[in-house]
Amino acid sequence: MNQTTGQNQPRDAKEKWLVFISHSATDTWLAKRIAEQIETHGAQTFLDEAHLSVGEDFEERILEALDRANELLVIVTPWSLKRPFVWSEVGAAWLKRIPIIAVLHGLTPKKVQTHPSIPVFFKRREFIDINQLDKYLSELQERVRGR
Amino acid sequence: MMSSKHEYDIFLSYHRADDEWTKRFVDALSKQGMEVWYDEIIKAGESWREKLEEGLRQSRNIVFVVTPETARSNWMALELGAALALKKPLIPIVAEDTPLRDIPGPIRIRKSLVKGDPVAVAERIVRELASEREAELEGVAQ
Repeated sequence: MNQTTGQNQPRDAKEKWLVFISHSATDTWLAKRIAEQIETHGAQTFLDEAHLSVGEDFEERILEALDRANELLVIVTPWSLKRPFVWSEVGAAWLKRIPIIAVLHGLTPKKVQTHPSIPVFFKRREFIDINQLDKYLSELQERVRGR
Repeated sequence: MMSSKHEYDIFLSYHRADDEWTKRFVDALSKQGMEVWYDEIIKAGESWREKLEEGLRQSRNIVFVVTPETARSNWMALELGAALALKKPLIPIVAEDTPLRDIPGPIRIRKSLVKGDPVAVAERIVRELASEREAELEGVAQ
């Protein structure tokens, strides 16, 4: 599907800009559409398929993909709040100092920042409403070209 | 690694529902000379994100307490992902009433301690860390 090729290669300048997409299983369709859009704008995507919990392969597969990722896009919806797995990916990306973009669907930034089950974690500039995704995509295209 | 920054022996990840056990556990660890980072250390007004990162980076070991509530905690999931990304030694303590499916995969594949009397668990951890230290020092001497 949208899985990346060349799984075990280190990140280097010749490789395509990689966007790691973190999402809950409920948002799989949406994640795939976003991945298609990202690929149209010149970047590669890593889409984690339908995990319900933090898997035993987290340390090999997920961390390895994050090592090659240039940014992490997390789809935050009312459903992803019940999927801790998404938050493990966010936590790992954060300590690897990978830029994080939170795409909000069905939630406002204020709601996310005050919701009891969401880690008080994101900064305001890291939020993007799903209806503003075109702006993100054109900025992404510039990042891909300007590297 | 020598560093002028403060270092902790243990970063503790736990669920708020487990406050009472955790306090007794941290007390017991402190009495045995362990420096423990846990979120009670964050003072009001300080940036949670920065403090958490500092705690994770400056701790030598991560202790992760799994209870039936853990599976629904986004906070603990975030801390687990962050701890794994840092590749620090991870010591799980698992409550016996936790359903297997609610134990995160990376915890399931590690040797864990049973969450019993907090003082006894603390003593066990202190012993384990001490023997690892010894093994490390022997490795250097050879």
